[in-house]
Amino acid sequence: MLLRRRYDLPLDRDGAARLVPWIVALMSYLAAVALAAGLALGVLAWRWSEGVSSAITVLLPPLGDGAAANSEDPRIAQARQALADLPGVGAVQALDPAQVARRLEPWLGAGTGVGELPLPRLLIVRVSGPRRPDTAELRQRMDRVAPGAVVDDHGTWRAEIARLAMRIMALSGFAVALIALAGAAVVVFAVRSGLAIHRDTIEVLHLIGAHDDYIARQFQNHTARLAFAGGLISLVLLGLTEAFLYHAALSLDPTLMPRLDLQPWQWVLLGATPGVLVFAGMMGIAGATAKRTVRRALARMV
Amino acid sequence: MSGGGAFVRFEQVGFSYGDGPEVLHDVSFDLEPGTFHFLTGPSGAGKTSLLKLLYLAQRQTRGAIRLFGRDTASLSRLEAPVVRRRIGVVFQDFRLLPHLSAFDNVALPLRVASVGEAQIRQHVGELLAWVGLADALDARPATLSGGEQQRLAIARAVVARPDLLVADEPTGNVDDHNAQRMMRLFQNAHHYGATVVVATHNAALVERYNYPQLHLEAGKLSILPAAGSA
Ligand SMILES: Nc1ncnc2c1ncn2[C@@H]1O[C@H](COP(=O)(O)OP(=O)(O)O)[C@@H](O)[C@H]1O
Ligand SMILES: [Mg+2]
Repeated sequence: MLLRRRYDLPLDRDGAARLVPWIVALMSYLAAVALAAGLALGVLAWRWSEGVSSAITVLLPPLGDGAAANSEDPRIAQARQALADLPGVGAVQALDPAQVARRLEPWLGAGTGVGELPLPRLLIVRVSGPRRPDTAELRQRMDRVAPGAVVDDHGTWRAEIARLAMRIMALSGFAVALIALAGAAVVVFAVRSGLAIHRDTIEVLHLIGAHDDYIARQFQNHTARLAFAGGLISLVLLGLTEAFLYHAALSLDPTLMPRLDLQPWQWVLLGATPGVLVFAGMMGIAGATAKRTVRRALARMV
Repeated sequence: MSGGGAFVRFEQVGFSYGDGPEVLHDVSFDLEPGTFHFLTGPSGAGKTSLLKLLYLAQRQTRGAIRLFGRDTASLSRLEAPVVRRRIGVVFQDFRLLPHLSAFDNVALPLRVASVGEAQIRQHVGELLAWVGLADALDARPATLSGGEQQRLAIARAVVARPDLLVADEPTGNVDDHNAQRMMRLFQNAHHYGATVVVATHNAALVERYNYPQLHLEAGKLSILPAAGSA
């Protein structure tokens, strides 16, 4: 008896209502994708800036003609020595010209004779310990070893990335808000059409002694069921999209792009979090909108 | 006219639909509890309009209506349903809900009043047996004959034991046999304490039963003594 669904209003048969789950599914899907994209880009930017800030690059200017081939650059040992007692400095890795050339290759293209250019020597200074090394002091010491050395702690770059991440998140939030508004509009439309179709039955219910609450509840429960169905459909779509993206991401060229490098469970989390958030949000919006719309309309009836 | 605790009292009631002409003029009458009245008059005289005021489907445009001691104009949106539950209505065209079974149609007044399902099953079962539809629990109204639909509508009107039972031309399109059967149901409800008002333009019916009439002519009400002989 409890499982038997009985509505005094045959809301299930409304044409407009039948479309609602699909529209809700589409909107929830779009909202979840926007949210997931914002989240992913946010995580990406964060990782990126973390990776960047865990190292300071030092560029020693090229020594001049003929010296490029010689990897026994005396300045490297001097630089190592100068950095040894600076607080916050960990391992210092020196890249030889061949390695530098390989790093440039993706941008300049293979076989363009990168190796023949006068390339600077590149030192990657790992940051270790709780405090970052004093960049000004580091710059001074490097200048003493090799005048014209460039020290980059990626400070501006990090700030840029952070700003970009904020903007992306704000944009995705804005998109989600717009979709939520559209979702509310769909619910208002469906509820109003239901009210119009069943006006006569609603009047009978009122005349028999039904409170507005009693009638409103039927619309609310019905709308909640439609939104729930739509939410389930969107979760399925979201799962499929994520599986597709996961495989697509595996085949990305790792040297050209910063990688998300997520574990499978992190992928699931990345997809599930927006999915669940949007699902709950849509249910809430649908419920609240149906309630408000129906109550306002009923208050104007017999 | 006396006392404020009147069971049903119309005082100088006027009514018009929207901006239309007035269809009821200065209608005044009292109904004592436990009485049985016919509401008579030619078609278009205003019988349905008067009943709509009585069962709170419309509001009068002037005058005052008191129901069960309450001025209906002072009823809030929360109070009106509670008053309506004390009034059983057999609508002119029955207004059964076509998608609900006979059982669920009759159960409706109890459900909207939050009566428990066990009690509903008992009451509805009894009522359907009383109107001779014990075998039609699961039937949709459309599959029932005109007489059966009418009895179903009566069962729905009385299932919540209303203090006031109102019927609008219930004999309209049923044969004489069914009209008499229906009158017995109203008499039965009356016997159990309901105050009854039956609108009809069926002169033969009014003749046959010994009840006073509220008589409408072009929106004006007069009260006629019992015409019948029974
Ligand atoms: N919904 C309505 N809107 C406007 N006028 C109406 C409406 N219902 C009835 N009327 C008019 O009110 C008058 C009384 O009608 P009604 O109360 O239905 O009379 P009866 O039930 O005695 O036949 C008639 O002139 C009718 O045309
Ligand atoms: Mg009428």
